[in-house]
Amino acid sequence: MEYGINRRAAAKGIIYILLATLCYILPAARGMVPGYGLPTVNVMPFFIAAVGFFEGPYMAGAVGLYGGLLLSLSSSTVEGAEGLILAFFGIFCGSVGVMMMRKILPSVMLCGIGLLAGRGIISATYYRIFYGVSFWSVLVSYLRIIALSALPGALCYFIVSAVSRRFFEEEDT
Amino acid sequence: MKIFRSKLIIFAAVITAVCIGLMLYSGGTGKSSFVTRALGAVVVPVQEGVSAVVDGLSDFFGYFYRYSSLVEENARLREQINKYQEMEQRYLSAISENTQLRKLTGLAMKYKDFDFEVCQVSSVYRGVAQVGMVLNKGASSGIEAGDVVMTEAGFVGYISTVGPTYSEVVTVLDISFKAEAKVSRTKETVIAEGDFDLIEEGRFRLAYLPTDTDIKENDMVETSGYGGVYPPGLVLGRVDRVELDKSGMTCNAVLRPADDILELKWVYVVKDFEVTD
Repeated sequence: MEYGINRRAAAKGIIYILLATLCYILPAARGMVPGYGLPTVNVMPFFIAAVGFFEGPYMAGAVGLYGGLLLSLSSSTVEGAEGLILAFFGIFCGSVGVMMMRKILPSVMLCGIGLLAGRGIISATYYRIFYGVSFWSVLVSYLRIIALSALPGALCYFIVSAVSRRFFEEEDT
Repeated sequence: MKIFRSKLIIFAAVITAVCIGLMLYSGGTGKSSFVTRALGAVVVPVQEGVSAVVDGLSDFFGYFYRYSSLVEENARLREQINKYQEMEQRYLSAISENTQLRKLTGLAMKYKDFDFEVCQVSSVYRGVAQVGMVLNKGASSGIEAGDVVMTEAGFVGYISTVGPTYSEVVTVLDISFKAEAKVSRTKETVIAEGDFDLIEEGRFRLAYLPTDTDIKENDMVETSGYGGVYPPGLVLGRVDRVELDKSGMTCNAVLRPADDILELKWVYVVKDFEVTD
């Protein structure tokens, strides 16, 4: 019995790993980048938030770590930093999903937007200090990323909820 | 201290330890860790495949979507071909004249050896202040961090991180890009760098120019080669416009990159070069 549950958990983990890979690959594929005027979409926070709400902190932490390491492949942040941020974000979402918030779309969107906005403020401060770029300009760019990522981010919620429900039904029967 | 025995805290501590380990390793050695190398080895080829599929789909649907504009474009291109055929004649005669002049002056070729590696662009990344790309080849093909990335048109960027089968590129548009350059016409030495406000236009700039600068629109800017980091004479771009800096004390020349970075499918990595001055 326990063996069956573990196998299902492993299968679910693999599915989430594959979905996280898609979240990384699709927005950065050649031809998907909209142009110089718009930054690349970032749906990873929404996906991890959804995993957190539906699967709890352990699965979300692991998927967050994996997603962060993937993102560091194409960004110039220090390797591991992105993983640390997203893993903790996953643990946070998993914990609030268990204790405080309901597993609904607005909760996932709120967490995803919250992370992107938080990162926007940190980035804006960094670019202000090290490159002298206007704080508000960077923040506005982040708001654009949020606006562009919100719709595909919502899609992540529905996909994760479908995967989670499917496995839940299997366990039930 | 019950909290420290909680499974979740232990889980978070393990993740923190792993990430800090990765940060220390990559920060200390300047190389990507085996974890990222392994991920890159698996993910980059998949990404390359996805990019090829997206290319194919956009070509296929683009054909129906843009049929009328394609007809117009076809007519315009035919006209251009005629014009280019004429130009080709002049170009061929200019080449033979140039060869003769080289022989006459005994001018040495500046670049003795450029050891090229042809790479496919697996993905492009347009961040808030970053414009980068991932290539499908890495250390196993002899690529190293700092190698120049270019196309037939000119300089694109440099390799920032190398994995065994992939490499990351910082392009000229990235805010962290900075290179010594030379204006071909005036021979003036300048600093070319990425600029946050210009990323949206797909442009970068020559900074800290005097207000009475002689640089004009369409002037070509090339790598100066000073310091031996980049080979000299690679086209960085052309001047789009010259404008006063926000401070009003200096001027900036806005540059068009040598090539359209977001549209690149293939690039050359210069693994080694030799300069004869």
